[in-house]
Amino acid sequence: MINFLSPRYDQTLGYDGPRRRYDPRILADVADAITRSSPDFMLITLGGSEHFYHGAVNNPRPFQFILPDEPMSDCHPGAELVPYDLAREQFRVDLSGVLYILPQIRVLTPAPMLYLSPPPPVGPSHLIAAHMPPMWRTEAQMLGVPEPPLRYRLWQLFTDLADELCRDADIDFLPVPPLSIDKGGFLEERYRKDSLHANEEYGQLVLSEALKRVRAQRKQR
Amino acid sequence: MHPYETLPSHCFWRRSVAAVAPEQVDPVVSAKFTVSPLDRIATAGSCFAQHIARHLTSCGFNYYLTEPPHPTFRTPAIARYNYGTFTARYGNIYTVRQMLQLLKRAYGLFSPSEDIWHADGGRCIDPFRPQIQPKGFASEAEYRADRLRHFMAVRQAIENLDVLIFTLGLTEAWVSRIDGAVFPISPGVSGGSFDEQRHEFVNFGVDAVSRDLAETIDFVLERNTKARFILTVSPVPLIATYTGHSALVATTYSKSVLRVAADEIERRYNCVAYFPSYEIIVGNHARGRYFADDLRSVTDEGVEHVMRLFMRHYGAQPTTPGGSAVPRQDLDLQKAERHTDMVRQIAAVICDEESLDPLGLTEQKSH
Repeated sequence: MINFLSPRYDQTLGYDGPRRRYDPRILADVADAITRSSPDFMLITLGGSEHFYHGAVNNPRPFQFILPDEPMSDCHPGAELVPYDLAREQFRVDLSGVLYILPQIRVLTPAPMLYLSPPPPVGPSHLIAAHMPPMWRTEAQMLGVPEPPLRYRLWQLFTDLADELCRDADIDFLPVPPLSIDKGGFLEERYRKDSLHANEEYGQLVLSEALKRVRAQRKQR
Repeated sequence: MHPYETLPSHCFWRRSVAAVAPEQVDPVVSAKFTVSPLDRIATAGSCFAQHIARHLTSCGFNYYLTEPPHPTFRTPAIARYNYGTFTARYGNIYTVRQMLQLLKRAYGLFSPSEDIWHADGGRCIDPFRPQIQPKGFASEAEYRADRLRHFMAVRQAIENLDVLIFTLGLTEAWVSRIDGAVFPISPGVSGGSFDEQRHEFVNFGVDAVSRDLAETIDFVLERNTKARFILTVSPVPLIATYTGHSALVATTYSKSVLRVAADEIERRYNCVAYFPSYEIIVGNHARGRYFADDLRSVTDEGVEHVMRLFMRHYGAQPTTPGGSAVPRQDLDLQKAERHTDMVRQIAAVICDEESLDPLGLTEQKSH
């Protein structure tokens, strides 16, 4: 396993415009690991918290957008409506700035690759507020946590975009296990870990889905 | 002795046009009022009005935006969503009737029966802003929510503007036979479908344009007594005419009607001025050089001549391009960038905590 967030890699390289700068040793290590282990398949979890950038704390100018297939009933009167198409274009640029490395990983091996969808967002706003790092608590308290519908829409849009970018890179996208989603589209309580992440049980659920997918693909071949 | 002997130079063709360097020609003569850097200037009108809107901020004027772009969404694609093209996102307003209709709709005084065009994939087009975003609206829910916000922005503009620069563009239009609703372009061109049972062609005359213009001004003044108006006529010729005449003849008719109506209204209201951008661009002095190769688009040089005279006559005090204050848009952008950085760091901190976990398969983080 190659952990992109490992302290072994320089995590301070920042961004070049919308593009995250990756430590070049990451790709070298991935290539090396593939050469050494000749994997039957690869699971990728990369990025995934982008929806949280906009969903953790209210924007100083709160905004919202409406997904194409949802009714208007959940429109927040105090939030500025941004066209869905515009939100999609902006977030695609943002997410591409993280996932642009996928095609570079894809060419390293013909083995099947599965990109794991980020888990659904945590529903209750108070859980997000409670897990805020201390240095931002004052500002977060001042601005508040976005309403659940916006957090759901952000996750859904970023997930759709991740799926699209994976297809562009010829990488299979594994959606979240249906069992892990509650009636409102949020992460089931039993699978929550903190305000952003799912727990180990969720990980097992995903792994089981991933293995099912890989076996099914093998059968097809 | 005769009446012309004592007239100033600008009244004489040779002295004010023929014998003057083209770029020095100044048909404005004097402004009815001036515009201070603090006055909120709203813009509306045909495509030439876009040039004026674009230059106002760089000329140090206070360009009033009531439907500004959200600073988080700053992809270059945003230009195609018409934020800032005009004060609110109404798109090009070609006819005076269209302007009057917009005001009435914004205040709930008119609801056209044909108010949505459905397109493929559940997408929707606004018949009255068919090109406001590249592919229309993603859903009917979004269209209706956006229109509510847009009308609010129009009302905010009307009630708070100090100066409205309104550029008159066309007299030809397509209207609904059912309720007279006027479309900016023919149904079927950028959405919807043309149906001669429902749509008909009109070419407004001087009386109709003057009446609509007076009604528009009265409508604004009833809601904003301090409002002042600067009327201009777009020098851009008709791209096509449905009158059956030559496009050149139809253009002459259209611009003449608009020019006469503007003159009538300018003389009727103290708070209305006429700014001769039409004359500056198409006047003989320019010898056509203010038009690009298509003989329609106005060149940057032409726009610069117009804006230079606008600043000279309407600027209440000397202004420098760019001004010294940081435009509000830039402040918004800085605030949005700070916010995104902050939240990105929050996510990073939470993820850093995760990365401290052992890295076994069952313990790796789930994203």
